[in-house]
Amino acid sequence: MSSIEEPGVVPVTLVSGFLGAGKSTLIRRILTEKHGLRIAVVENEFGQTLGIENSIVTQGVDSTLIPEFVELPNGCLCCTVKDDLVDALARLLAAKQIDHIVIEASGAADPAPVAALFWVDEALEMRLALDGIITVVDASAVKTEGKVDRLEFIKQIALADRVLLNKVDRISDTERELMEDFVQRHNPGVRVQACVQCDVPLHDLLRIRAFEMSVNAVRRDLALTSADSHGPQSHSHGLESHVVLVPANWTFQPRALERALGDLLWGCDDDDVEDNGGSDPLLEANDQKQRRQEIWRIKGVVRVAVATPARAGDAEHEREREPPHWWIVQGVDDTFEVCAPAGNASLSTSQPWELLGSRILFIGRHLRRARLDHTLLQASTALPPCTQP
Amino acid sequence: MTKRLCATPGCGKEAQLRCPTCIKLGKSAEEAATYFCDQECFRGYWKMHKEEHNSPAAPKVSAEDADKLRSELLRKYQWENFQYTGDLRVGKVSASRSVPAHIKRPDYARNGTSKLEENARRSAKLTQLSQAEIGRMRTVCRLAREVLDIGARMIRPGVTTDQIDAVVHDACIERNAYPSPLNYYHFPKSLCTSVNEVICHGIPDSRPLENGDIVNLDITLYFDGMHGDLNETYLVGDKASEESKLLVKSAYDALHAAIDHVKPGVLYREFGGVIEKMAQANGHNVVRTYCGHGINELFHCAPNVPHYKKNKAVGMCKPGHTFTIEPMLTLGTWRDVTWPDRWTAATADGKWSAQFEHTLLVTESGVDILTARLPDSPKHWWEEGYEPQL
Repeated sequence: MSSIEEPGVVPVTLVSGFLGAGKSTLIRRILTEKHGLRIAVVENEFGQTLGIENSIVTQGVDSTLIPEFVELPNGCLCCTVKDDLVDALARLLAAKQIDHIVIEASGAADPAPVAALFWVDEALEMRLALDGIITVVDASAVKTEGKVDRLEFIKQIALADRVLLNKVDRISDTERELMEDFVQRHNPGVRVQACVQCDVPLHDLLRIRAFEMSVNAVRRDLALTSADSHGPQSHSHGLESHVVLVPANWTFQPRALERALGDLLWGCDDDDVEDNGGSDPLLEANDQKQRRQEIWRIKGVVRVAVATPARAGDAEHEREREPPHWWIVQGVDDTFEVCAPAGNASLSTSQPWELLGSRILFIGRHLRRARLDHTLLQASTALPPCTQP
Repeated sequence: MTKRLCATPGCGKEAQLRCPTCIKLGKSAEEAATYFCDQECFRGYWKMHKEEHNSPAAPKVSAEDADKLRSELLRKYQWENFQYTGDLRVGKVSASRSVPAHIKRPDYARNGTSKLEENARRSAKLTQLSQAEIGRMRTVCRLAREVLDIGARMIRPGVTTDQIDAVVHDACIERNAYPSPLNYYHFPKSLCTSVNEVICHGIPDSRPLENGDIVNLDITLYFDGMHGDLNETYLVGDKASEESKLLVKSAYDALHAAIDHVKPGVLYREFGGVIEKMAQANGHNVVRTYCGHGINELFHCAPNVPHYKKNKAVGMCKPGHTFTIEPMLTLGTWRDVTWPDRWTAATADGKWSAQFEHTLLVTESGVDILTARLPDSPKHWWEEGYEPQL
């Protein structure tokens, strides 16, 4: 199991936020505060020219040393191109003792592909584990016409595992509530921390394990999410969230669930949309325009029936001798993972959660809710009554 | 050391730092305009200064030359300090062979990098080919199979991989096809030859094959705008160890187990599990660094097809997709080491590795092996009619 708790695995935190939101302030804080962690900061420029943002962190250092790595009070800063980024970091980890990596994405960057880049397959043993996405938001942006409407801005909020609402000293309490509400609407359940100068306890930001495969962690996140879907009418740019609820006594075969999720993410391209021309009965009537569905983030806790190895061959006929297990679904950008959870997965049956069944949260744009529901329900099967506890 | 002044006009303070972009662009340390006194001043003059990053006066050419010289020195140093993982040693690599002007070239043939592939990498969308394009894929894959078989018939003790390269190169030219590996990201030869502990991407050289070696020939042709890619591993002579024979067969079986799994609706992430299960049953490991890939007008494109289990590969098989599966199995570790030539991938423990590859087409009902064997293709050791070549 890819786990941050594993010795030798270094967590990677992605910091996103618009230019001027306070990312650099946060990074400087992380680098200079006394916390005993050796931290490497990576500027991810993504093809944009290195500019002001880059030079700030090099302050106080002989800048002619920049091309490779620059030593800083708590760690180092390295500049590389994106294709080699993961590889360069793996080399860095081999050469130096580092406890945490912080990636600073450039202002308008979409955090999803960067996060996916660092969500490396465990089999590659890269010693890197994606810890979470922190988005720094300039709270006073609420006062600036048009600024909060940018799709990139909304996506940064929607994908965040923590939101820092920075510069709250510059706005009124009413404006602050508006802004907090704005964040919650676009990312139901996300933890928002209001602050000035990004002054927040760093242990709240580092090692948050947002991509951890622990049932309880995901369950906690999902518990914060109301079961109601947030429709596009309340959001800008068609952003929506939707929770697929599966009846409590229904289970998934891991492969069937994977294929269903794969179908939802990759099974319907632009071409298909055009070809269907609205004839697909599963599409909402009001979605005749059929703008392309984008799924940005998936989180789920699912009941899985694992066929016993001895009967694997005819698992479909001789189903579920074992009681179902709770598994985890995580997804970001264009990929996802269905996985047995790390640690103890057993939940006491007295918990109301047990009665809820599988639930999977989707955050994205132009979601086809009916298709999400239909595809996942199709992939699950009702447990025969005799195997119920 | 000479003191430098800040480049901001009228500042006059002593410079303490250099613009990181200028350094990245390889501007000379002598260039006064790259120095600044402090961050404030740098920031203040940034709008003006950044224009200089695009200025034609930037010494681009000399920086490139300096890089080249530096990398040559580095390479020399790396070879001198390189610890081989097994018994195999690098040989002499002859000059790259030329391709006549009338043969259509892929975009990287001229300068070694493929803009088309790099642009395609930004969108992970998988290409579904039209019937006409599928026809062209069938043609180039058939040609690639013919060329592989020609190369394979040359294998015997004493023959060098450079000699095989010459014959393979000519066989491509004869078919009006471009040998795709040639100058692909500066690969110097017309096929990859991977001997013993070399996993893949070995460069043909002057080393004569020895009786008892195993050698993989990896052939790709570019014809009529499409690439076709396949490889097989062969025994050299008649002295192969039982262990290496089983490894070769195991790689073949793993590839075919995965191919049997291909049909519309299957996820590209599923093949790794099939391959690893087969490999493990035979006591072998699966290399994780190198993957199968989409192939069409581009040599390498989406999907990425890992050969190990529990991967998060993106994509689902649909009719009209063309891609490769090419598992590399080892007797020991799955970890690899790259030689200082920056291509040759060898096992980290020096134990041997074998590989097989096909270019596949997803059809409505399953899969077509576009690079399938021909009735007269050289036989493998476990097949009827196999005769070692000496």
